[in-house]
Amino acid sequence: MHIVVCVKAVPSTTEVKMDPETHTIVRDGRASVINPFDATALEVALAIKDARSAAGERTRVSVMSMGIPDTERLLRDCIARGADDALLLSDRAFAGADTLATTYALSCGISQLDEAVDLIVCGKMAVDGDTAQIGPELAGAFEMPCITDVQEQPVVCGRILWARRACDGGRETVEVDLPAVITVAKDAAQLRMPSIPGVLAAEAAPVAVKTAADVDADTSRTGLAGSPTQVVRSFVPERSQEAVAIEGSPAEQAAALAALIEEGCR
Amino acid sequence: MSWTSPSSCSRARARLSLITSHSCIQDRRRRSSRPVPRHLVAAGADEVLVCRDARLARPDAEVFAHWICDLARAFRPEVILYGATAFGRELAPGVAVRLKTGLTADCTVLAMDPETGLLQQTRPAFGGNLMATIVCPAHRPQMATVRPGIFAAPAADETRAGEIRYVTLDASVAPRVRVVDAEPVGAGRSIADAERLVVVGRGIGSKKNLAVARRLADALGAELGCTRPLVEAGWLEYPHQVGQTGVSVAPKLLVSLGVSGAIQHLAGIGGAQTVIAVNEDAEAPIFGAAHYKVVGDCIEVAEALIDALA
Amino acid sequence: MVDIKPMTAEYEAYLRDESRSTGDAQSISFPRDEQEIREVLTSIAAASEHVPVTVQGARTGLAAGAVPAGGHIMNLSRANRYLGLRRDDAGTYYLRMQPGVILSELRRHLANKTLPTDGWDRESLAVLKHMYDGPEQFFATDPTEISACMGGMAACNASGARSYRYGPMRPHISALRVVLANGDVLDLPRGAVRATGRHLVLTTEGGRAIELDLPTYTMPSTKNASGYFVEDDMDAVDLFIGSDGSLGVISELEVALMPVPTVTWGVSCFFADEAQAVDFTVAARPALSDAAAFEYFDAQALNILRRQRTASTAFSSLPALDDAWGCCVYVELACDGESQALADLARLRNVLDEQGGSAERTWVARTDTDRETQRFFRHAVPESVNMLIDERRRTDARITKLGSDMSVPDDRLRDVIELYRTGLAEAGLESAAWGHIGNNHLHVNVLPRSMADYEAGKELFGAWAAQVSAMGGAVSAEHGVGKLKRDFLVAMYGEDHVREMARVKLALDPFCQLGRGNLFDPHLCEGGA
Repeated sequence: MHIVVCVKAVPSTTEVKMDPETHTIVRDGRASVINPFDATALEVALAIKDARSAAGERTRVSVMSMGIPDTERLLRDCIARGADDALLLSDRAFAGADTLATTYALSCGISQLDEAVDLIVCGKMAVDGDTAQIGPELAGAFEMPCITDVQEQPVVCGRILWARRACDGGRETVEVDLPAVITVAKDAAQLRMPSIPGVLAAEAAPVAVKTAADVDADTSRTGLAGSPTQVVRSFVPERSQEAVAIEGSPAEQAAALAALIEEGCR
Repeated sequence: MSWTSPSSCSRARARLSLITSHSCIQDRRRRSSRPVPRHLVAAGADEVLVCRDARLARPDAEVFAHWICDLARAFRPEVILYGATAFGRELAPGVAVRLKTGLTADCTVLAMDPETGLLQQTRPAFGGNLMATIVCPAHRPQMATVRPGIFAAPAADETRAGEIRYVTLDASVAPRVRVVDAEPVGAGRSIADAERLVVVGRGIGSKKNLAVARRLADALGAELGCTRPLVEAGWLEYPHQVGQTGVSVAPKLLVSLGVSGAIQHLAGIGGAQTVIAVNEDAEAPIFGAAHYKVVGDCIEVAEALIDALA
Repeated sequence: MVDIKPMTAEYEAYLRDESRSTGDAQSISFPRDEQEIREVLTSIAAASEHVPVTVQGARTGLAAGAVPAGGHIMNLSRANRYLGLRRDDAGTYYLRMQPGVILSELRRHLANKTLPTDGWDRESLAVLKHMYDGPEQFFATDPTEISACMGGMAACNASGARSYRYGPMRPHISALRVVLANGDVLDLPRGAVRATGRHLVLTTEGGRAIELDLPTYTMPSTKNASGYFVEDDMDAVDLFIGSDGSLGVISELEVALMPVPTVTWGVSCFFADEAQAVDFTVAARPALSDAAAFEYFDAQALNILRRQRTASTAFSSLPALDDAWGCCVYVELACDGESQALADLARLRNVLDEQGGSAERTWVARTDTDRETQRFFRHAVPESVNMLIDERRRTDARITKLGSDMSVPDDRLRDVIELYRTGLAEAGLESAAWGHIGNNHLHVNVLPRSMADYEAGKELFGAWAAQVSAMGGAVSAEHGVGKLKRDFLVAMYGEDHVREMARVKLALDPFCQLGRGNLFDPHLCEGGA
């Protein structure tokens, strides 16, 4: 069985400061990290691999990312934790991509793998973009069914996957025939730490780095050129109001609040 | 879900069509059911497209995506808007990738640019620390999912006229996800619907102080919510969690006790109309999101407020 | 003007510290600076009652050093300002502060570059800018309880996991200002005043000379926080570091900072049994270049964690522990390059392979998230034990935490563990042990099921105090003697040497006011020793 995990490198903190002059985000120079939701996705894949190997069934877990060259370090860390191989899609032509263009690049990478894919696992969303769109878009690109917002470790038996997911009505348990795409909630699992041999072996492991040409991607559909949406303005939201301070002893404060609340009722 | 007809230059009156798979909705307050298409016309639709098909009984994002794509190819709308419910947020990307168009998630502000006629879609990123305004200049339809609770539902105007059309779902579409078991969210109302909320954070000190918070909630006729650390500590269950990874709430009144105001929590209370925050720390970030600031011991103030309300 | 307030119910919490014992007091003050400390002390002296004065910081101590024995409580938590920064020729930064500065706040300010600078002179501000422009600095002493304050840490010569490499707080303190019981002030920069042999002359800022005959004992070579630091030709400042609030009130301190190591990796190694864990420690210690800490968690501690993980949502994010894993040794590697860390990792693998191939049973934390998971795991051990003790206390309110704090030289590690295990087994006591195995310093915690267990535990610790001293170890390696371990101090040094300490105290505090009950029985002070 072949599982592909899509991971994104994100800033280590989502606290954003805008440079008041250039109106661009001030980077604090701290190294990027694996999107926490994608870390969970990797654990979900590794746990499926563990369960299957206990039953004597072979599973290959490949991690893939579209990113800058520095992302190679994060993919190597995924190998240290148990992924079998990693692919970094890195090319200027990929830069500035919105979700449609990102999905296209990832789908080219996945299509080019030397083994057919049975399951694609993504984090539900990235902590910087927050769109939660890549998973369902990838599923649509491959015409695979998609199960979003998986809450616990899913179970694979033969060609069927069972998962418990959150939905508007509450939670539900669903099953689907592979191949399929699943997206996972951050707390569905906790990514295991690597062992000493895992870290040492990963140092020598190859991380494939491929350009748009290497994966037969049409550059009019990748990066900024391939993005139907564009950001015309970014801003740090201002506090639109200054809170009114309610002073005094707790009894006095409570009296003032009670009056406010009664007034608000009318 | 709605769209406008193709020739929407700013001067022409845009046409609003709503599509639905429901034949009726339950009106909880009046305890009756109302036919949906009429309701939607009264709410402002020029046209309602209705499809009744067993395959649409369950919110299956793949099935609905195929259906909407077929309608989009037939009617060629300018814009498609979806509610950013869990379903809306998984459905819309399925449409976007198949129509090869753009999609903006979880918008909180929508506007039409009078010069370009483009839909300006504003949404939070970085967990709410950054707002971005996005447009989709060359691809159609322009699509966005819209955060629930931001816009008030329009008042019903029963005198409005509109067309109701019945459409079908292509025979080749089949659901592939099978539901084995469903667990509806808690027997009580979801705190997302509450008109009044008392939200507690770590500043209440200990689990036993929840009792005071509950009494205040009762006195106010409010539901009880909390921040994520309290759920992690086992003081309250997950349905009470308010924030980015919990429930987004938009009550008329929100009383916040001992909440410091982490950005992920603030992301969940943006829709609250009046926020009264109580915290010992005068510099707590919650005060930046509050309308009324009470610096003090939150349990003392809560107890005094219970007395004052009596 | 600072108030001396009468003790009312409002201040009830100040009668206790983390040792869970309670004292009593008649008044309390919260001086905000050295001037106010002096005012409180001189006004108490003027009232000619010479009441006891117990100095408190954040009350996180475990030996009841901050628990008042009647009289006045001087709580320094409001003296929490940062005063200035300087840099020496070698490029080391020295930060001056008041004793009430909290460790976690200091760490936060250094990491975020937000040190409050109200009242700083221009020179300090210039040095600060220089420091912020350069590599991130940190303060090396890392006690588990980060809500402790710096003055208290200096008073008990605090240690933490990283003391394996960096030592206790002592070497990082470059200066103290101390207010004596009568309000006189000693200014003590390191290097300024030294003893001649065991004779030390201190001169107050007012010009008064105080002659001290220092105790004649030889301190153990191990990690040690038992009694006064004394050695031939010692630096005067070291007498006050670790003196448990019994000689003077620290009104200001200056500490050295260090650059943060670029690479910090935490490696948790799991073993089937304790003997393997000890063998590993003995082999790994000399083999590694960049180890900053060696910490141990025994099988009972891990079992308590396993139970907590399923019992409580707060602990559910703890990583799962394989059932086969008995105990754990945590090694922290801190260095300036990944290649160095990888080299030490390879050495660790060799040591583990030589032992029988348990290199697979390791967790290597290299990211912030993983390090936080590991830190949470390590801190969950004492927390879970506290929760267990609280449960036990419901059956008998007298039951409280009972943890040892003894260390021995490197070559006695196996012996002291044998001593602990034999003693616990013979007494039939339930226990959990963890701690700084790199320094041969374990906290053996007795988990009393009844008052009988509790008494048996105390007796056992008393026996250990004597035997550990005989091995050349220290009866209190980091918590300090306070009030709870006075007997151990006698066991360690003998009555005569303890009397010598009392004489030093009397020379500085003639009416035995400061920290009465700390280190020695008060009767040793009365009427001159």
